[in-house]
Amino acid sequence: MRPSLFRILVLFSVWFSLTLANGLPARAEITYKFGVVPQFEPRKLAAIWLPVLDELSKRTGFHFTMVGSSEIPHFETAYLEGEYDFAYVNPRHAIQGAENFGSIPLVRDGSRTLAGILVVKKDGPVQNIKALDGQVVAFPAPNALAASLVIRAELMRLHGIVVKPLYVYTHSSAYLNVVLGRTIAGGGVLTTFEKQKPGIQNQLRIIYTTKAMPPHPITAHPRVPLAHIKMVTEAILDMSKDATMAKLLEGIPLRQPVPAFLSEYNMIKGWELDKL
Amino acid sequence: MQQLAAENIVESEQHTLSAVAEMLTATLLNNNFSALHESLDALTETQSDWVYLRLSDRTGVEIYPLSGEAAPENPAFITITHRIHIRGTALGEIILVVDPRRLLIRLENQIDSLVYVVGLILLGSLLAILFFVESFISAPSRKLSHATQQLATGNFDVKVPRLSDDEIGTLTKNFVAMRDNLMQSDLAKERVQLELKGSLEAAEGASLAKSNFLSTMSHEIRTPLNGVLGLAQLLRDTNLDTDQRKKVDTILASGETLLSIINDVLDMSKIEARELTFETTVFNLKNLVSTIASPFYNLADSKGVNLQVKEKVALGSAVKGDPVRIRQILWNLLSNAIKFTEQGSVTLIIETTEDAPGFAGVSVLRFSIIDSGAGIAPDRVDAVFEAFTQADSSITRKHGGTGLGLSIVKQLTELMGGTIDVSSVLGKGSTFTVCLPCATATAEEANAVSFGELHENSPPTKPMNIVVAEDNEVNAIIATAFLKKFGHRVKHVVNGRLAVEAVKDDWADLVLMDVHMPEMNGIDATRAIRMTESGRNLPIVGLTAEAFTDRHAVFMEAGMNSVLTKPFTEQQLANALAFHGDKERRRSNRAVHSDPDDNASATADSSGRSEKVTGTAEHPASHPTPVGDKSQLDNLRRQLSPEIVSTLLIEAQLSLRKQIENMRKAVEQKDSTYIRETAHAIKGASGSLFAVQVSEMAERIENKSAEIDAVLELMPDFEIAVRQAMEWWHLQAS
Repeated sequence: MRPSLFRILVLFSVWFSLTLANGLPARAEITYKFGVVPQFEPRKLAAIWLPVLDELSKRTGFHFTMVGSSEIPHFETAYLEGEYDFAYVNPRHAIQGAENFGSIPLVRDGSRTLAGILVVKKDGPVQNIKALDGQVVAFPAPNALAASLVIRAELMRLHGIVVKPLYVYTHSSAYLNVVLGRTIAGGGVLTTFEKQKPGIQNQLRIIYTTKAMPPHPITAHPRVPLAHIKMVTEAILDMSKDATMAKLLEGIPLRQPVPAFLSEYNMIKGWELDKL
Repeated sequence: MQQLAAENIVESEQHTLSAVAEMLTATLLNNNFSALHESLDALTETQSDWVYLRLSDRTGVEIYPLSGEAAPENPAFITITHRIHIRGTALGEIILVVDPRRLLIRLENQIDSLVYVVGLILLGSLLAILFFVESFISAPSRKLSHATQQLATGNFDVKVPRLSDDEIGTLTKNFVAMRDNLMQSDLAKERVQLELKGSLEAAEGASLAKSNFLSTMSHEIRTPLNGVLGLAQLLRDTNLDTDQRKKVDTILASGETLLSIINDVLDMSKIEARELTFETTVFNLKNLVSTIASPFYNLADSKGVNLQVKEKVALGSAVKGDPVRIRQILWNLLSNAIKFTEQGSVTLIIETTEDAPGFAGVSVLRFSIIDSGAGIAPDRVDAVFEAFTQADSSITRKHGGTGLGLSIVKQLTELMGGTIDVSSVLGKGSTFTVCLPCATATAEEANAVSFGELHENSPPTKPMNIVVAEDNEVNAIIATAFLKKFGHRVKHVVNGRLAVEAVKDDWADLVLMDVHMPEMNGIDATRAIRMTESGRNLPIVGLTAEAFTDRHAVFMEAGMNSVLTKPFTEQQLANALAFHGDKERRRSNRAVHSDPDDNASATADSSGRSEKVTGTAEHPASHPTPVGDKSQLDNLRRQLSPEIVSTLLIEAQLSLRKQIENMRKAVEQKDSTYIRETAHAIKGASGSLFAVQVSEMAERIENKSAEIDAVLELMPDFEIAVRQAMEWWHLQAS
């Protein structure tokens, strides 16, 4: 009698654990690497993108692995070496990617444009960019497009102002350096500035805005089959029609996804940012 | 007591703060304050007992949380200060205020969840015990009680509980014994009759199933075997050393032979229906023999049988015949010989002879397979060649086999005009002798086959002088490479006018003429050549990407002798050359060369084509066209060389880049003719190197070139496809 009872108990626990295991989701068969330019801290970036990629998996049936990078230069190298199947990149990367390996822009935010801003302390003495000449200014990274390259290019070429850049990794860090008085000014873009906590935003003032360009596109590597590229593009365009998803997309920010074209970004070539 | 608890808390929080300080050092040094904020935000969220945390730099300026609030004052709270240093230099300071009461709450929560888990386990155990009582005591008792009731009403077929080792089990056992005794009645006999009837029906069903099995067996076995062969083929094309290559070749040869056994059953029925056909090709006898014998060495070794092959033919001598069927015959005889030989030797002798009995004046290929095996009883010797017969019925039990092998061998031999004889002594061994009439190949034919067995089917032609008129660089390189490989001399020109010039001096024996060329197209050039003295009878083979045979008729009317559809295979080109290489057939004969196995081109009438195109357009997602056809490209690599194909692929990328720029210009200018010509060029060039997706889309654009709106709609996808094709070629070239 006793061995039978033991067997039953073992069976019961096995059945119990199997039932639990069955609740786990099945994996999609095709996996694509999705690279995201690190504008924010990794945790924040993951919080924004993972739900979006989950939804994209649901809609297309492909599995997406988000590939993050700690710094923009690392991301840049990986992207230009064609490591990602899909990627959210800045316009300059999009142009370089197209030239390097034929990357294809799919969608971008149609609700806004991308422009660099310079912020200073709200109650500080700086009223004009002329005061920045020769001063240390915080920027996220040397090759951050709107938040660094375009600002520095305009300061130098349009206004004859040369600043000493201090690279502090992210937009948020650039703003915090100004708040903490470490630098006299900091470079960023409007969307990331508006995402700062009110306590930070309240202490800062925008003193300069650069010319605008179309914002970051999501691009595809040409090795991805055309049919799959189309499915992903359509899924993203469709997503904004769903209120919950629209909210998630806003975090990227991709408020109003519209098709993106390489020709829209060609303007950047004329700015000669490589010579900076 | 409380004092001790407070000390414990301070100590444990100091540990945490040390770790935090370690983590924050880099961000402090790098001015990466956002990372610092993120980390501390995340940390304070999880530590429920932390009520206040402030980080300041070494000058006392607050870095986190930037709220400016002072530390809360409460006698119950514990304040901990931690300095951040790096090699003795102060970087900053952390002030942490902890509420020990919250720590208690956290502990209580943990106890709550523990209670919950224990409760769940208890509930589970209770369910298990209930389940046990139900299935081991209650249910069997109920079943037994039900069974006795049923037995009382005369139902013997009642279910009884499972026999267990307990009291209920004993009760059940006694009950079953009682029921079995009762079953000896007439009632039980009637049931047996019914069961017999059921068995008969089952047997008939099984027989039907067996028939179905036999009919599907060959297919079911062939499918996985083809997988094995396919993979081995791929393996053969990787970097292997000589020994590995030999082994892979053996896998391939053995696999193919196995496939041919499976085909035995089919062959037998084909032979009986007189549907079997034979081919005549040039092949290397030595290669054939070494691949046929090698798989048997292991088998022979493992049985302790000495397998010997004696060749009395010239090294590498080439003969004409059907190598597949000859291999089939030898395979059957060899496997039989080894199967029935327990010890001693099996010898295969191959010889060519001019004076075989019964073959006067004909050269004969003679195979003798001599074994020292069981032998065949004299009265059974003739029967071994009958279908489904073996020398002794115990053979099937001991050795297996279909009993079809020797019958097929005899029939094949006779259908090829040969003879087979057997002599045997019971207990001493048997000798099977096969004589096949065969023609020795000429030196040129033999030379052609030395490129490898892959080209067994190419009918070789004498070296010729050939003019290739083709404006597309890629297509020209392919055609030239093939022609040079066949041993011909090639002159390449890039338009029709130059082609007319090139044939004026009587140098050319044949012209390969592209139809679409700049300056003068292939049709006009053909007409011009036919007007000249030297070109009147010159064979001209048209090259076109158009698969419609009615278009081919137009080219033939212009004076072309035959038309090859691009992309053509090596075999098709060889066939076309062989056809025209024979000067006797030049004057009257005209032919269209297309691959008979290629259903697409063989059945391509205009309606079939357009249906295929719309089908693709309507369901692009459900039937995606691959970017490129790798197997075809690999085939080309084998036929030419990897280096030539790599050069071609690079050339093709450059050319496609130029063409897509032309296409953009054409679309911008809304120039339908320019669009059509460019699309046609892209279709041809990409098709030649198997970038099928682009080729298909280019064809669609070519067909719609008159409707600018339709072209504009196709362009974005086309641009993507072009980039994918270039990427694919790039990968394949490296």
